[in-house]
Amino acid sequence: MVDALRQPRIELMTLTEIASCTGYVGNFRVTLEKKPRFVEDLCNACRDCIEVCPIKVPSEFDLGLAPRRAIYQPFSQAVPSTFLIDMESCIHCYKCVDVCEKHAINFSQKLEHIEVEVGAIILATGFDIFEAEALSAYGYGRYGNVLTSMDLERLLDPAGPTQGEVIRPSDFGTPGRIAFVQCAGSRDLNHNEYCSGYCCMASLKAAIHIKDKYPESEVAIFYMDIRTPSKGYEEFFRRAREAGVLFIQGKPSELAPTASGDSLIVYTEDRSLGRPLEWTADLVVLATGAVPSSGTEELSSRLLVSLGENGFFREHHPKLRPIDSPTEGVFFAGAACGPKDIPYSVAQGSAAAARASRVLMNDWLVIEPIVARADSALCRHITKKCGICATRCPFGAIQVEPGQAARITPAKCMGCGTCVAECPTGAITQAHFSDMQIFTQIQSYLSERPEDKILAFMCWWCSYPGADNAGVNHLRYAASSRGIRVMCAGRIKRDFVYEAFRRGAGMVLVSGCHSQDCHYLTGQHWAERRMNAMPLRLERMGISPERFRVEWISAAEGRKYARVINEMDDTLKRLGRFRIRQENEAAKAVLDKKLAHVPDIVRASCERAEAL
Amino acid sequence: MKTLREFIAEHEVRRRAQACYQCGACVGGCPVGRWRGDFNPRRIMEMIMRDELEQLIRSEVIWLCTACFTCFDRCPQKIEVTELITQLKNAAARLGNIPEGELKKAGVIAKDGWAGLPVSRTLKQRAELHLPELDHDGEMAELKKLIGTVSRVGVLRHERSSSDKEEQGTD
Amino acid sequence: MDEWSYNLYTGCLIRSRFPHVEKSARVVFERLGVEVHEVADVGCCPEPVGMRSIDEQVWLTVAAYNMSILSAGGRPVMTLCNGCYSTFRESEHLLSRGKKHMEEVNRHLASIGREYAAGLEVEHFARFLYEKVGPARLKQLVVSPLRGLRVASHVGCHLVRPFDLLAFDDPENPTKIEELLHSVGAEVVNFPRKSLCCGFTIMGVDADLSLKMGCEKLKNIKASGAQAVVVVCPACFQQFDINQRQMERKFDVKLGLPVFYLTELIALALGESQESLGIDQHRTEALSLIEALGLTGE
Repeated sequence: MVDALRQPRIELMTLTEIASCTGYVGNFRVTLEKKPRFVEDLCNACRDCIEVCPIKVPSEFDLGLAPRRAIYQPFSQAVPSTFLIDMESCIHCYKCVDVCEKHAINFSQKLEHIEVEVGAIILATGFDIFEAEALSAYGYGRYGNVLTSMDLERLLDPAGPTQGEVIRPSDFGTPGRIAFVQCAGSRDLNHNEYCSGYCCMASLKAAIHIKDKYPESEVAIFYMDIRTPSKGYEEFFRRAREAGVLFIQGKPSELAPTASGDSLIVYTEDRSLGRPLEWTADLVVLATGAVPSSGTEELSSRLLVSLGENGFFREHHPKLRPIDSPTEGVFFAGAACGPKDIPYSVAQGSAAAARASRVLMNDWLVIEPIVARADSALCRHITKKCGICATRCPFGAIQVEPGQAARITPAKCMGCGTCVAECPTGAITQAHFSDMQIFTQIQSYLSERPEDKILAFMCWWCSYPGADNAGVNHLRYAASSRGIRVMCAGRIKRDFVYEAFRRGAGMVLVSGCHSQDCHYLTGQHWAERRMNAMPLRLERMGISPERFRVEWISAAEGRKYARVINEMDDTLKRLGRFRIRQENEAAKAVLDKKLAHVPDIVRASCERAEAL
Repeated sequence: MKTLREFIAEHEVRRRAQACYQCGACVGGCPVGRWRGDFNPRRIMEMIMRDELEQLIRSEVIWLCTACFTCFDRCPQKIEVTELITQLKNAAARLGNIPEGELKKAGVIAKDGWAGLPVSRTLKQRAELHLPELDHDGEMAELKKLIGTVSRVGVLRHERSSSDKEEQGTD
Repeated sequence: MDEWSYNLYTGCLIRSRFPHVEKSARVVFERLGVEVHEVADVGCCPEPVGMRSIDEQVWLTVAAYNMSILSAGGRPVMTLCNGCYSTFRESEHLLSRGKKHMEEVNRHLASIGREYAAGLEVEHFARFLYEKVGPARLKQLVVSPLRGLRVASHVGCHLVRPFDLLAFDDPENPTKIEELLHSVGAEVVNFPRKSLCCGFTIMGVDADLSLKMGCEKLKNIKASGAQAVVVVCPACFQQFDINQRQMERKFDVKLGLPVFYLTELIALALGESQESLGIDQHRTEALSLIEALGLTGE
């Protein structure tokens, strides 16, 4: 950290948060809120002020296991080493001011707002520790001698509150029997469903350390599984066993105090021996997992960076783009996206720097032109609060201010077209995939013998390549299908389906990615929702609902595509041309009215061509 | 119930036990398992998955569950342990394997409508405390009829006419 | 309170074995202004462990039968027993969640001319006292605070579990009944594993094991220094009160712990006399403790 402080091209701003952020990749305008430290950098950390400060409060860094003063250093290696004052606890006695040789203390420092322009943003906001009080059966907070791994870390730290001695909070004695409870609150549908990954190694490390320091101690680790996947980890597990750490497989059900003193009984099943076990421990350590860093939610809305499962930040793609956020120009490193251990986090740090460099190195950034644009003349948000488009965009590309038309930042727009389809007034268009272009395709395909055809809407990333996959593999499927490709199923308006039936289509297929695969994260979800009621609506118009299908087909599922088309072709033949024509006739009046705004593009152009 | 297999399928017992990852949290807190090593909810879940229930259904072991729901509450995979064991007891009951004491209790409810009627001493005590008199009307006819017709467990069923039997189907 | 109007359901055990429990409940309701209505034709809830284990469909159908009667007057039902509370809450949950269950149950009920419409509000008296009355209000009404009385609170299983369904109190560390006891002046003693099951429900399967489980609880309670145990369920009451002597003999321990129903202590604190409450009807001698502490009420 000191290296970072000393690097001339790095400006380290501590006690600072992002207040707001506008702009887009390469051109972010960030307002920072720099909280006052009340101590200038003249401070040489001599600690004279601590001696005279009368206020003692629990130290956050020491997790409340030790006190700090109102004027303090968070921890001794803090960067910068300048002290700071906690104004909520300070009683303004000014004794520190009197004693400070450097005259570094300045009570009149104010909150500063600083504007910076940056090209890229890296979020490395880390994680917080799960609050173990929620594990009521383990009694953290009720029983004094139940600690979390983090609490134990503070005790093991030679520079910590107990100078590296492991002592029990109840009587400050040295515990002879120590129990580690793994997966405390993790892999648990009642708390955190996920595994945090590092807790096994953390407990192994602590256990080995304790056995080394207190050879007479009995250390037992109660576990469901021991997870040691990375380099050197499995060997470390062996080292723990060789050090005499006891491994008892079984998830402890509860902890209860002993009748006599402050020791605890671990009630568990000893799975290896296949019987219940009551193990008395002088100290119990709960290996709790990680939760998103506090402030993640606010930051996500300030930066318009989406959150994923469990409240961590969401990567653009967990495997293929793990450093990028869906918002262009914002990158991640470390546990901000999910629990990680040290080697992984360090590697991600380098990766994030590299990704950010790509942006900063160039004067120009090439983006896809298939961006959306909102027409302020049609945007309803100006007069009546709407903002639907902004809620649909997972990339934060749309901004809606009160009384103003929606504003889409092209550099942030990924081109899914979901906002286009969701806008209630049709105020948004997508370049290269406009409504007119798509209506033209629909009308062209269906200009001849439409009732013999299956019109399939497909997405660029999954279902179209899926169809392609069928073809490349020479899979047989009915020749009655015609495909219209859009970037994402999210683009598919209901009007397209209506227009298809209006033009006499036999069958209509709406397809796209499987929900977890959507290239645009949520486009498929909105498409599915939008099409949910379609069968019922068609039925009301007199069109058999089986003439409409929604299918999610991946790029590898050529077989599925072929099967779906063949099934639809069977239905088409079974219903027969006569019936289809009849149904289309019956629905014509309603559809004509619905689609009055859609011109006869193909016919008009044919007439023009003839006229020439 | 033609077979145990059919019962298990009908009540989706296996599907509901599938997510169990055998951690043993249900065992550590079980008030019964503490004293009886043969009563082990985790093992019962595994036996469901392995389809090895024939012996279990015929033993007294599953009836030791007090239905305290401690395992149910603590299970990190939210397996409805208590309810699955109850299903196994139901299956056992269909086969006629019910501990005598339990059978007696259910028999009393089927016969009297209550799990026990007050003896004269109790009636006297009630009077001493000026409690309202208990209603003796309708010898619980409706309730008893319900039990007799709904139950698929032989011993609780009423004797039925042959036409009723056809309607209900044989078991 | 004008709005406290319930259909009372005492359940089998209290009705036929523990008149003093019923009395104390009625006294408390009267003094708090709770209107209780008597309902005829109901039977066993049915018992949530034994009957449900033998035939869940019977249990569900008979429960719906009882609930259809207990819906009389559009009033909620007040139970005095954890078991009845569990049966009604669980079956109501199953019926309102599963159309198939509902249809089948109502098909059977129709054959005897009845129907259950779902949505019956089911209350347990202890939960009512905590959530609707509240410790503060209760304290105001106390005339003879139970000073000097040191009790342990055993809430039992089915008032608090499953937590997902009932969400009343933390099953791992239930404190709400304790708050009620504080408000009437008693001192509450904590003891390890206080939410452990009393074991009553397997009496018909393995009596020795059942007694062992109950005895362990009483031993823990005794070791904690409590003078008495407080329960809110007649099954737990039977286990601890009626079976206590048997436990003492079988496991060679001295317990001598009077067992009180929560409503008995509250009734005493509200000024009712011990004679009127029938405290002498307890099997495990309870009167001497009450008298020694001068808590006999008016």
